[in-house]
Amino acid sequence: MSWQTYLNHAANVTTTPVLPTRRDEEWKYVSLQFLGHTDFVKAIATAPATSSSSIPSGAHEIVFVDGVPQVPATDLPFAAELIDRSKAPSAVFQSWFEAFAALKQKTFAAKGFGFEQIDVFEDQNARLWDKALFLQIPDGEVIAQPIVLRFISTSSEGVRAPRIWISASKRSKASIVEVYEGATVLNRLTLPVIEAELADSANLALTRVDRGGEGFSRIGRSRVFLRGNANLESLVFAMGSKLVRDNSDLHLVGENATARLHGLSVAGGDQVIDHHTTVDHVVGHCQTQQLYKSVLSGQSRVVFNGRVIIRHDSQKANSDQLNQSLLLSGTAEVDSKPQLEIWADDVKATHGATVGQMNEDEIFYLASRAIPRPEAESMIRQGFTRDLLMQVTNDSVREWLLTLQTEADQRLLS
Amino acid sequence: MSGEYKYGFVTELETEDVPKGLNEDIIRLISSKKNEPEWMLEQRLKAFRYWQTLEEPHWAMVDYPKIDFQDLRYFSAPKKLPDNPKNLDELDPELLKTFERLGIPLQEQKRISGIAVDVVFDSVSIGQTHTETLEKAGVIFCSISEALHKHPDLVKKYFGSVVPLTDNYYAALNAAVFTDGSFVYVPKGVRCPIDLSTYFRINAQETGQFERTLIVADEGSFVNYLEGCTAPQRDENQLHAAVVELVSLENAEIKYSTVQNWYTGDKNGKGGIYNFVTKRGKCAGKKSKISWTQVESGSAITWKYPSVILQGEASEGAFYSVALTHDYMQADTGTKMIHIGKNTKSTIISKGISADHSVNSYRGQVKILPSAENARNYSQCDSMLVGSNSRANTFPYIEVKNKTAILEHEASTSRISEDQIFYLQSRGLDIESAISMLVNGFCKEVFKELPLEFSVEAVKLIEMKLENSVG
Amino acid sequence: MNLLEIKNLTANIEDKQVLKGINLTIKPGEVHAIMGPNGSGKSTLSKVIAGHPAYAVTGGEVLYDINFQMKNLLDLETDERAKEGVFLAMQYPIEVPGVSNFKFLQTSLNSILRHQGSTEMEDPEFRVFLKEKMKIVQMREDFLDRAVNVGFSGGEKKRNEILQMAVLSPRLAILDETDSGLDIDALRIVADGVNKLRNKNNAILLITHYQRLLDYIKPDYVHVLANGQIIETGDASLALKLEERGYDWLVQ
Repeated sequence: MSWQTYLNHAANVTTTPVLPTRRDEEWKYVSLQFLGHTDFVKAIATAPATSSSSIPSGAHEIVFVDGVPQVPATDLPFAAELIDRSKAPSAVFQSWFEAFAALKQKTFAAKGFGFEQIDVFEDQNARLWDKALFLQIPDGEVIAQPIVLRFISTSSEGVRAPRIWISASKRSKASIVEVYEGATVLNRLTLPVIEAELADSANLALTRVDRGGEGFSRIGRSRVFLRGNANLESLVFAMGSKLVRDNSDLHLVGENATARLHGLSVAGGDQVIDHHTTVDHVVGHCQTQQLYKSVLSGQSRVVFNGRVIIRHDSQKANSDQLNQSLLLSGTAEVDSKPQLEIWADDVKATHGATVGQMNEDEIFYLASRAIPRPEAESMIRQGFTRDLLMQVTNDSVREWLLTLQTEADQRLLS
Repeated sequence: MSGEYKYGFVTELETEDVPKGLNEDIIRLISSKKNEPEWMLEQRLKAFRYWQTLEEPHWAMVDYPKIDFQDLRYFSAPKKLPDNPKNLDELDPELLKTFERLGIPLQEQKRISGIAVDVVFDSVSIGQTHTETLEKAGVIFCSISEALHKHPDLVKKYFGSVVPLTDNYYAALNAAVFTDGSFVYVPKGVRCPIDLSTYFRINAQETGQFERTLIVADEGSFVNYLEGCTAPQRDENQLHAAVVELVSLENAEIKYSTVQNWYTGDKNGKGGIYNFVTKRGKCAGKKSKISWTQVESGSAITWKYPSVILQGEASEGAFYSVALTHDYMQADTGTKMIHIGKNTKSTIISKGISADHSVNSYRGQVKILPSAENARNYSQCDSMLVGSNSRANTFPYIEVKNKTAILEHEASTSRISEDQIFYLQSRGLDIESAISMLVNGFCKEVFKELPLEFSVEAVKLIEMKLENSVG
Repeated sequence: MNLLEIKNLTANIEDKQVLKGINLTIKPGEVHAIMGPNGSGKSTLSKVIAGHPAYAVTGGEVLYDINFQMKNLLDLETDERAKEGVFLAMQYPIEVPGVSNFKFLQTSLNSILRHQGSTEMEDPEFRVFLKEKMKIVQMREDFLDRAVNVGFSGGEKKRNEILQMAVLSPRLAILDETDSGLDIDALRIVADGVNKLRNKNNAILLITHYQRLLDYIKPDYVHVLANGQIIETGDASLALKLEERGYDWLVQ
């Protein structure tokens, strides 16, 4: 598919989409009625970008104001192209886009997986964005400083539709962090779509942090293709926002690719956090690991719908999937659906789920070591999910996440 | 593998049928043939009218042509059937021969085996064994048609109390056209002295079998119930849409085991039974127990989720399943455990084996409602693939609304490894014994839940069916 | 002055009476051993003193010297007892995933220091302090970053308990079956550790059903607990007698 075909498709997307309901299997546990509208109009920024309260130290930062990227004029160790819908993008982007679209088409041609189903929100994103971002990490380039994409909303009306394409070239290494912020009162909806391709032996860490206020909702999709020997390290950390619906799709299209998909949800109040993952072993000899942990208080609800597909002939695939939840309140709800669809015989696939509450013996042990109960509980809560953060390889991102974890835990109690 | 279905023969019998098709007149006809009370006819019509408003369900992992419900016959009964066969020797000799060939010699049964059998042939129950022993213990074990006449109050009280007429498409259809099935009532404090068993046989052509089973275990009682089934080998598909309801009152326990060996279709996927069954139990009383054990090795398509509603405090539900699919079979099976009462406990052990071009899906739900303080669930769902064209899917639905719940779900998919076979072969086992040893090891936790006779049968069945698929 | 006076203590677990009137007095500097058959109530006694929520005290009191006044420990929460110097080395130390030993011990010690009105220890200072204590039980360097007891062998868990005792310097240390499951080398390390921590101001209550720990840690008193009561008290020689003759001669 050429760039022009994409634009033509986007131009034909309906302006009055029919939103999914809970009768729809993919939305079984989440109601979108609170959105109250389906007439999606573009949000127009009403204020300039503000500086951030907290991002990882030493990061390169690109701020999205109501979905529109503000590419800094400074020199960056990677290519950051602002794609304007009304202008022709660079030849580099166009040729990358065409190859990527072809890969996508080939991967989705297989029947029986439901890839042909249209995601209403992804479609709306295609229609709504004005300016998108293309990031390309050059061949062999190792970028130690994290690349932070920070999403803020200034407008009280409309929908934000950030659109990002990422090309991680051969043997490159980078750590990209998305941070969604803002909106405590008004009902603000963001529909980001992020697509990435990891070329042979590329290394990419994708960290997504939801720390919006109680008026902020994100319904987003990220779609990553991994070629041979590529490695992805993904973490979705939902500590805020009213609604987070995170669709993380992985397609392993080259042998010996490895991917780690981690999720951490700290939910309170009436928050709803819904993780949907698809891990598609298109070829054999790949390894994937999913670990999603949740801590729930108040009347919150956390959903994990993990889907592992091991296609026909994807022999020697290895896939683990685990969802663990800690329920702190009697009114919170956990829904877990770790699914496996296996079409090849020589594979190893496991999945599991556990739900439990605070262990009184652990609390007693800490209390018998002079640690007061509230502090003991906080240590246990944070200890439950800390392993996920400790595995983040970028030092600066990890340190930052650890401070956020404490912040999230404190917020849980208030 | 088709040649090995030794139950695929047809019995030549004169039968009394109703015309093909489904409408209110047919239902009235069935009801009048069975001389039913008026309330039952009304229930049937209510269910039928509701069924007409429903759409035929479509399931994601199951694929089959649309069923023409007007092209089926809803009632077929052997003609030479005494009105009330007290003595099974009075039966048509052809029928007796049939059951001998199936390994169920009805006459001798009384003497050699400790199991009481109810035999359902096409649409009707043709008689029970061991009636005296049961009568002495006060246990009621008869066809549901007979129960409607002899124990109308019991039937009225519990019929549809676990699976309502409106439950689902096939449950509604069953409630409208069911023809027979077994009824069991175990009185207070009685431990049923022998195991009870129903044997289902579909014989007639183009006939659906819609049996209905209702088992009630009153306070402090216990019953072990076994179900077996076979059908002739026919090229067209036949529909089996049964409903089984279990009610377990305070301190009572029902163990329900099934070895399902309906005809699967030939090796190209032609023919075979569509097995669309609704099975559900209610642990209504405190400390009541229900366990479902199933070995699903037959049918072209299986769609069933034996479930337990855990309503009574400290009640327990269990589901043990081995599902084997081969050739072009499709199985979508699993369970639902609905925790309502305090301190309720459920266990799910599911083993799926898929061979050849088959699709084997586990679909299970564990729901912990807010009222279910201290609920516990342990689930383990393992799949094994034999050959590279089969598919194994696992769809667990875990929904927890109470923080005191502790729930664990584990699952894995693997194949019989070459290393394992090599190891056993190097110790002198031939490849068939090696594989059967590994498969039996894989299913062990389920087989041990079956009564001894069934367990031996199940092991043989699985081995025989896998013989051609591995190697 | 006495450090601990247990008077007529009775306690239940899930409606079953386990302690049926315990009387025991311990002075600073003393080492007491409580021996007895399985199920006699030894572990229950240790958990009741430390304040485990699963046990319900139904009668009696546990008096303990707090600032030269005998106060009832039973009125204090578990962490308050720990702050007053009560330490329980558990038979089955609990695993606490995700919480590092370093963080755990620092939080624990600072909580006690804060209670005592002393200055809390910051990272570098505490690290130096902790490393010194780790030598007592021969704990390896990587221990600091590992999660509390997660993936520890049985011997490591027990050594960790003694390390915690060394860090927190309790006035009353109760060692519940600290010797169980230890090989002879690990037992020696643990016993050496305990001996180094012994002084005239603290007291140790050893709970065991083997004599062998007492070869390494010499008790001043040995008590026999059976069926929820102390039925015999003697000196170290009583332990030897028990080793030879078992409990039957006492229980009858």
